[in-house]
Amino acid sequence: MANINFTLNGNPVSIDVDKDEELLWVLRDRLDVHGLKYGCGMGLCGACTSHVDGVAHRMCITPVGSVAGKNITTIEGLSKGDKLHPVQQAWVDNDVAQCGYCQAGQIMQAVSLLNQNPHPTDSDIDEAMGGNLCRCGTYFRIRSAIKQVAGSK
Amino acid sequence: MTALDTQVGRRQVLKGFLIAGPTLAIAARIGLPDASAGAWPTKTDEVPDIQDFTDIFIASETPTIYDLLIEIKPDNRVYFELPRQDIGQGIITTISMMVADNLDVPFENMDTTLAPAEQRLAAAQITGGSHNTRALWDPVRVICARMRGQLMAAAANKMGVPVSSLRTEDAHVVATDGRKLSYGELTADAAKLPTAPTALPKKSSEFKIIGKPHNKYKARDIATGKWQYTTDMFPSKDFLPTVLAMAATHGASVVSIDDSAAKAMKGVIAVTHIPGMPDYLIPEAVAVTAETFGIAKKAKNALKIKWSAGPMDSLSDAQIDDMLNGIIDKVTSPGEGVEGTFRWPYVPHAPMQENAACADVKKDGAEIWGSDQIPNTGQRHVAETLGLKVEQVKYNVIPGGGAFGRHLFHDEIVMVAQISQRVGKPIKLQWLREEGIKNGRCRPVSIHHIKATVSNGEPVSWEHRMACPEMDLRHGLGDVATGYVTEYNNEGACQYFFTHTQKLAYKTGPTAITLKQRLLAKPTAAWRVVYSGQVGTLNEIMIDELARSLGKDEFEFRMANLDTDRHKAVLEKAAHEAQWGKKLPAGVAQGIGMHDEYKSIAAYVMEVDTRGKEPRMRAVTIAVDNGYCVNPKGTESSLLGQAMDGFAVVYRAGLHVDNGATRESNFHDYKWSRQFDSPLEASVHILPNSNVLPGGIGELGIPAASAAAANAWARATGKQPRNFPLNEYGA
Repeated sequence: MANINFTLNGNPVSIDVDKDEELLWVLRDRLDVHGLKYGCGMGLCGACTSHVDGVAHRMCITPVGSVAGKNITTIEGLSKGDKLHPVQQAWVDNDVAQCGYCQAGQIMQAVSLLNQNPHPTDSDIDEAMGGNLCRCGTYFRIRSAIKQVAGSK
Repeated sequence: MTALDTQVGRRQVLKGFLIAGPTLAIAARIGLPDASAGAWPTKTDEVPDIQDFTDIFIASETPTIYDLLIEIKPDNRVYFELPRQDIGQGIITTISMMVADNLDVPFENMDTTLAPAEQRLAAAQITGGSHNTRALWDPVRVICARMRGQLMAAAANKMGVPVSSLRTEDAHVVATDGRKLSYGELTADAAKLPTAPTALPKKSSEFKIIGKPHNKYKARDIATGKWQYTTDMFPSKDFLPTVLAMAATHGASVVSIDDSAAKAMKGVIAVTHIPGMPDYLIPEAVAVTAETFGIAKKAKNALKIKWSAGPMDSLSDAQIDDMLNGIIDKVTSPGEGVEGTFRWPYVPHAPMQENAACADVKKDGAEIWGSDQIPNTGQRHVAETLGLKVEQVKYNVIPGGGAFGRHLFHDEIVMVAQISQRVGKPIKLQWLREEGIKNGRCRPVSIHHIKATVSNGEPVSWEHRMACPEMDLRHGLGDVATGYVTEYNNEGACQYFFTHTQKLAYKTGPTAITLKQRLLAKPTAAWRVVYSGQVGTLNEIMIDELARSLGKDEFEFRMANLDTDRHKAVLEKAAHEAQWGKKLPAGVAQGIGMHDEYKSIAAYVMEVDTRGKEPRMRAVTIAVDNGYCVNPKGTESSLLGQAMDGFAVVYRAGLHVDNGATRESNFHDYKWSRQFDSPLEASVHILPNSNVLPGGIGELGIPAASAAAANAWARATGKQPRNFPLNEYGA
């Protein structure tokens, strides 16, 4: 094992762990960052979605060794101070969440989509968000929230 | 119908008269048909028309339901302990709206949390059956009225004016001359005064918060990741991450464990064999505790466990179907009509948060953190399994990440307590998704025979026979008495539940809707919209087929035969808003479905395109009458979500059983609705509030949605939906 260094929500992290350990558990169990959730452990549901250098990744299948030197952003690092990120604000405005468990992952996926494609079509949204499962079925409002942000740009 | 503003107490007295109300109908019924003409008997009231399970829930919890902790703090904030569970249905928001409005405080002043498990609440701590907004309506308004009465009395003393000259507004008592005192300034004095039993609750015409769209309580915390679920509450260095290995086949037990390879792995702390509670189908398991869940999961895979044979190892889907076909009641109606045999598969609840809980068990007491829907039953079972007294178990109830009926049981609660006791440390347990799908509780597989007969062009009888593996209701309602009864007579409890929920809302002749069950080792539990998800959906599919067999439009046929004008108004609204009957391309069709339960009625019109690789929902239009709707925004949210449930169970979701084991293991083979299944057009139309108590909406829409999904498919393809999910079986 060797020290692995990366940036987490703007702060430098140096951690001595097996490089194959999944980032989901490194963040949740070793660094007490709990916004990202466990849902499947196989990259199938998106509940753990966070950003590596601004792009959505499934943290449950991302080995910590693969993010050495990179910027990790979880839901906790999305907004600056009290002001919500526009996507978070759209989530609140559209009252998207029901149980809420998947929503951090949904928001991080939506931010990644909008970073790459500020005006996504419906099929762009379907494709980008298709890997994020919501068992409460909040998809209609997810689409509305994404369109709210896209429409304001 | 029960009046919204009726004085509590009087309503109970009136109820008996109201349900016996339709005397004209009874008179007509016993006016003998002309025997020589062989007339069919007309439809009589079904059991749920007289007393349904909402009535039973409310009757069972009435003795303790007025026991609510609402506290006004000196800083003018309101601390409220809701003795229920919020697993996404939004009851924290709904009941907080009711408290805030009835107390005359801004919603933003509410600090609402979930009450810990309390035995004295008995049946008044169950979250199930979509009954709680209605059940808590009177307790909240009466208790809040008395609190306002006391605050006004205290203000009257301070200001030296009569109480009758005061009013409350915005967490203040206000005098006619403009002077005002905040609640916070008055609480100390008010607490010394006698309660104000004559204080009148607010009238619905005075509501400012109730009945208006409101966003979810602490939506911002969810959007920023601050909202905590059970496994987010403690650092993993303090509560040790633990996962489980469970039986290869249902009901199997451990023969031997070789944990040498697992224990040799760096970061592994303990391997523990726990007994579960086999009497409650809480499975025996081997627990692996490690520094992180990632390590625990890898160590779990390194375990070599020899399992015994299980009691259903000789059973696969085909044998289970044979068993069900052997026990199902026979369809006996003579004569012509429409008929069908249907099958639903096992469907797990699969909430996004798989079973998870925390426990800190010591010699003389235990503390638990979990997301039960009936925490006081869970508390008793934890005490029993640990050898402690109930009062030695503190059970903190934490909002859950979905449940859908899964957490009526408390498998993970009992298990985490057993592990913590054996390891001797605080434990954070997370069921892996694989165990959740394979070993978790689910809606039982079922077979249905339905026959509707027709005489002289009119429907004259309805038979619906269902058979399924026994559904587990042994959690009872939370109190000791129902727990005892259900434990020793689960089948009786199921029959009682079935009889008080299942009915047909159409005048299609006498109905016979019956259930036969047989116990299997695969664990089951009530699943959102219990029994009705299967029975109600299929009734609506057969109503469509009956209409078509008579050459009638599916909507018009319903309008001509529905039981009440209230049903017709809901159906008509949905059909009108969806432009029922509009021209669509070949392969695309609208389907209609409705459901009546929890004192509410919903109708769905779904437009489905069957031309692609998989059917796609293009639009959904929903109408609902849920009595007095407390939060239209929450109602809309829930009913939209239920469209996705209905779509999933019809087209995509289901488990298979192979030689006593569940084949599926995770979301690649257990498939659910995704973003691309969500329609581009959706609308929810809530019928204007009438003067009746709120009805339930937390599961109401699913049978209507799945019927609409299946009926659209039938109309688009000309095929008959019979074997679900349709994407697998095609018909």
